[in-house]
Amino acid sequence: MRTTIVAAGTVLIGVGAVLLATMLTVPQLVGLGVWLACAVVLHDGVWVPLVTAASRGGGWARRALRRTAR
Amino acid sequence: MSAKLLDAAHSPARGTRLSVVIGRWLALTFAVCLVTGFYSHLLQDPSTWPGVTFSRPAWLYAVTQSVHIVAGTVSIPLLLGKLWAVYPELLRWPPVTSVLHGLERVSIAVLVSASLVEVTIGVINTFQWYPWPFPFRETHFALAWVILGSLLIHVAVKYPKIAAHWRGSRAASAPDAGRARRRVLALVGAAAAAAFVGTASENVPAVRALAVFTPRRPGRGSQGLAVNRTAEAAGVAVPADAADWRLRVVVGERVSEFSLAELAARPQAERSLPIACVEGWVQDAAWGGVPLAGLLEAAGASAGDVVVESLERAGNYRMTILPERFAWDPLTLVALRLGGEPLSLDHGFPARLIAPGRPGVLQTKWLAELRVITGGKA
Ligand code: HEM
Repeated sequence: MRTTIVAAGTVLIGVGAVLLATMLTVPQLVGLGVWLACAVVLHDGVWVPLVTAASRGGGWARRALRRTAR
Repeated sequence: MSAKLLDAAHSPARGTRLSVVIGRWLALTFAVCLVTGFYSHLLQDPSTWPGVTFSRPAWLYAVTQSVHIVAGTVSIPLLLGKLWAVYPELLRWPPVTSVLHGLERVSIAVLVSASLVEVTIGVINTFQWYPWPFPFRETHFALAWVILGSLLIHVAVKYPKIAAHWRGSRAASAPDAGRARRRVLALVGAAAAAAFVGTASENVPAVRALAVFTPRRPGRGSQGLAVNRTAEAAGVAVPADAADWRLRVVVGERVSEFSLAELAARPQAERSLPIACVEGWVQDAAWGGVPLAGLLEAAGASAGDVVVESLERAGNYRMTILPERFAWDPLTLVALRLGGEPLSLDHGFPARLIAPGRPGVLQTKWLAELRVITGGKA
């Protein structure tokens, strides 16, 4: 069952790829590739580290507040 | 290196249970986007599968597309929360342990990048800003297939973990992990609720001021109805008396021409029909004009799809196809009036199409020609 779903998923990705290849010109495909790569790089390399740092800061501030309140 | 990074990214909230809880909601919003998005595609491209698009109820597309925009926008905080929950997986070392594991990571990379780009271009598009080097609609459509495929693979691969964590168990996790997780869920939930209110309120007049995530409010434009493409932008100019303008109706070899006065002299009908924009806003309006079915009959047709052409010289929607079911729906008009007054030039003077259940971009303005293409008897 799971194997069948993985196979079906692969086919559907293939449909998407064929649609892209037939509807977009090569420069457009390259541009899309750049967008896809940038999306991951910005999310994983900038956004999540910032959020992680912010939540660390928040946790530290919460603990500090609790200490001073005591 | 990896260990240090993992340590820095550590949070007791992260983990499979959080992934499953957010993932369920995300699967729901993505599924809604896929269904409503494919429906919009079928309306835009009736050549693929005309049997599954409907002109009734007249508000059908208004609902599917505004739901699309709401579910899509709600997906964004859910997607960010989901990716946050699984971030340590990215830093795992060694990155690939087997061929199969490598393939799985590729499928994840495809899912993540396609999803991030899909929601990003979707939102930016509703602001009518197109800062990308590829066509929006085609790309958004193809990425939907890629997302559907990679999501299926993802769920199938993770199925044992999903099943194991479908129900929460207090015993399984440390109490501070549960607390941390609930804090993250509260934050993601609040952001999702804000996304919901900030988009869904657009079409609820009483609370429209809350629609902070949508660019355009219904009701701004000439004659109290929003305009996306003005006559100036479309390069259309028709003198106020439209003296030389004729609506051509072509059925086989037979060409009929109607002046504005001739159209106005035909039996008129008044209809309340919405303009339902692909961007998710909906506005009802009172249209007056000539029922299209009667006009087509007068021109000698009794059935068939209709190719609709505008006076526009260029533009993606200069020519569209009105499938039979929409063309012959008694609600469909060649509209001459809006709110009891002649159409303004921005709303399509001298005459425009208004049909139930279709995207606003397909409600062709500045009509030039109607051509019956199948089943029409000449
Ligand atoms: C996983 C998320 C999403 C999926 C799977 C999805 C899928 C689709 C699909 C298949 C279409 C039809 C395209 C066509 O006509 O060929 C569509 C249209 C559209 N989507 Fe999405 N979408 C998603 C998210 C979003 C978001 C977040 C927004 C914006 C808030 C958005 C805005 C639009 C718009 C404006 C259209 C109409 C485009 C047009 O006809 O010009 N989508 N979507």
